[in-house]
Amino acid sequence: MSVGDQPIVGAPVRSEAAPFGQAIARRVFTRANGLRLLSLTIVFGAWQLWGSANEYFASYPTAIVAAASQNFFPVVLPAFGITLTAMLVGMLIAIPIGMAIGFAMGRIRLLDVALTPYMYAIYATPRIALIPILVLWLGIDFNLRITIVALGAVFPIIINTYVGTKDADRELLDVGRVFMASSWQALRSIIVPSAAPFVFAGVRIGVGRAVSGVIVAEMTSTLTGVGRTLISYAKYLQIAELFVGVMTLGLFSLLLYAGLARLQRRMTPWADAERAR
Amino acid sequence: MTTLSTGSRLEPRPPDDVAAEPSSRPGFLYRRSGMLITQIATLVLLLALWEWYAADKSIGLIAPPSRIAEAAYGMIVVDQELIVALAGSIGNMMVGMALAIAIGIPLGVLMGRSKLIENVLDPYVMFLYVLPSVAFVPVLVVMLGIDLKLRLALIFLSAVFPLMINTLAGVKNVDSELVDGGRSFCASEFQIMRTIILPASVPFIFAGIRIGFSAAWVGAIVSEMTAIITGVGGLLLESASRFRTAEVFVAIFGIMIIAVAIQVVTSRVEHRLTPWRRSFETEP
Repeated sequence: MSVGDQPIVGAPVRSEAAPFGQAIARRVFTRANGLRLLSLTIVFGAWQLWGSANEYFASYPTAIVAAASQNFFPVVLPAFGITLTAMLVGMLIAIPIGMAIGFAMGRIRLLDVALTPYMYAIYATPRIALIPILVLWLGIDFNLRITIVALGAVFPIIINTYVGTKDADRELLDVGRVFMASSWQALRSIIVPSAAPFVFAGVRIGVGRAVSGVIVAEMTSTLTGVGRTLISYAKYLQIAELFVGVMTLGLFSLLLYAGLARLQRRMTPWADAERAR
Repeated sequence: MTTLSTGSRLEPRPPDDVAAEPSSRPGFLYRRSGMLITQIATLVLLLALWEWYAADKSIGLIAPPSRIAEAAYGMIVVDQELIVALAGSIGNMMVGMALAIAIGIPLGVLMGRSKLIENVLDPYVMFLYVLPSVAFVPVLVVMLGIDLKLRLALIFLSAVFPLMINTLAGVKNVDSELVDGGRSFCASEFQIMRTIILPASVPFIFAGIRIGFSAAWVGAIVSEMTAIITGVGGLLLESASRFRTAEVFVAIFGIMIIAVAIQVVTSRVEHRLTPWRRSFETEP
C-alpha cells in the first residue's frame, strides 16, 4: 500500500514514436515539473532570506553550497564511503541468509510454527534497541557496523520471503501437481516466481532499515562515518556543513529508493503491483 | 477460497492457508494444540540454551534468563523503573503521533485531490520521506535544543511522512468513475469527499497509521538514545554503559513488547475496519 512502485515524481510516459530529444523534453518540461521548480525556488529563496539573518540557527542555501564546495570531497564523501562499504558487505550477508531462512520457514511447517513468532517480534522491534548490547559484544569496529546492517536487513527479507513462499497460489500448485510437475519444477516455475516480488520488496525495506541502523550506531557509539560526521557538525554548530551532510544523505536515499524500485520492476515485471508492493 | 470440510461444526477447522483434506484429521503441526505445544517447546528450548550458554560467561556481557527475570521483577514490581520509563516514552509517542495524524492525513488528502498542491509539496515530502529519520536528530538538536520539543518533533517527523504518502496514495487510488458518478449527481466536493474518497482510501490511511505508529516508536527510542538520555531508550543506554546486561535485556524486551503490541493492535483495527483487504508489510 505504500507507493514504492509508483513514484509520484515523473511525468507519464508516452509511447508514440517521437525523436529522442523531443521525447526527453516532453518528459522534463511538464506543468508538474514547472510547479515543482517554482515551489523549490520560493522555498529556497525564503530560506536564504530568513537563514542569513539566523546563521547559527538555520544557515542558508548559498552558505550550504559554499560549505559543500569545501567539505564535500574531503569529509562528507569519505564518511559516506565508510558507511556504504559496511552497507554493501552487510547486505551481501543478509540477503542469502534471510532468503534461506524465510524460504525454509515458508516450506517447512515445523520451522514455520516454531520460529514465526520470534521473527515477527524481532522484526517489529526497533533494532536500535539492540545497538548498546551489540557494542558490548562486538566492540566498536567494522564488525559492529556490518552486524547492524545485516541485523537490520535480514528480518524484512526473512518475513517477506516467508510470506511470498507461503503465498504461492494453491491452485497453481495443484495444477502443477495434476500435470505431474516434480517438486523441483513446482519450486522453480511456481513458487520462486511468485515469491520473488516479495523477496525484492523485503530487500528494499531491508536496505532502508540498514541505512538508519548504521547511522544511529554511528551516532550513539564512537564509530566514524556519516552519523558521526553529522553529530560532530551539530556539536560545533557548523550548520551549513551539517546541511551538506543531511542533504547528501537525502539525495542518496532518494537515488537508492528510485533505483531499487526501477530494478524491482525490471526484474519481476510479472509482479502484481497491488500485491507485491 | 472454499474450504471443503464444512460438514459439522465440531470438526476441527483447518487453518485457511492449508489445503483442506476432508477425510483426514489435520496433522499435528496443523492443529491448534500441536502448534501451541511446538511453540512452548521452542520457547523452553531457547531459554534453556540461553541459560546454558550464559552460565559461564561474564554477567557484564550476557545475562542468563534467570538473572533477567530477577532484574525484570526488580524493575517492574519493586521500583517500577521500567514502567515509569515506558510510560514516559509511550506518552510522548502518543502526542507526536496525534500531531502527525492531525497534520499528515489532511495534507495527504489535499495533495491527492489537487494536482497543484501535490506538485508544490511533493519534492519536500518525497525527500523527507526517504531520508532516514535519524538524520533529523542533529538538525533538530541545533534548532530546538534538547528537551521535550525535540523528542516530540522527532516522533512527529518519523510518523508524518509515511502517513502522508499512504493517504496520498489512497486518495489517488480512488476509482475515478465513482467520483464522476457522484459529480454527475451534483454532489458537492464535501459530499464526494465524505461518501466516496474517504471510505475508499481508509485501507491506505490505516496502513499509513500502522506504519506511522511503528515509526513513531522508533523515533521515540532514537530521540532518547541519541539526544536526551531519558525514557526507556535512556534506561537501555545507561544500563549498557554500566555493563548491567540483565537490565539491558529487560529494557529491550520492554521496547519489544510495546512494538509488538502496536503492530498487533493496529493490524487488528485495520483488519476490523477493512476486512476485505489482506495486509502485510507495506513499509518503505
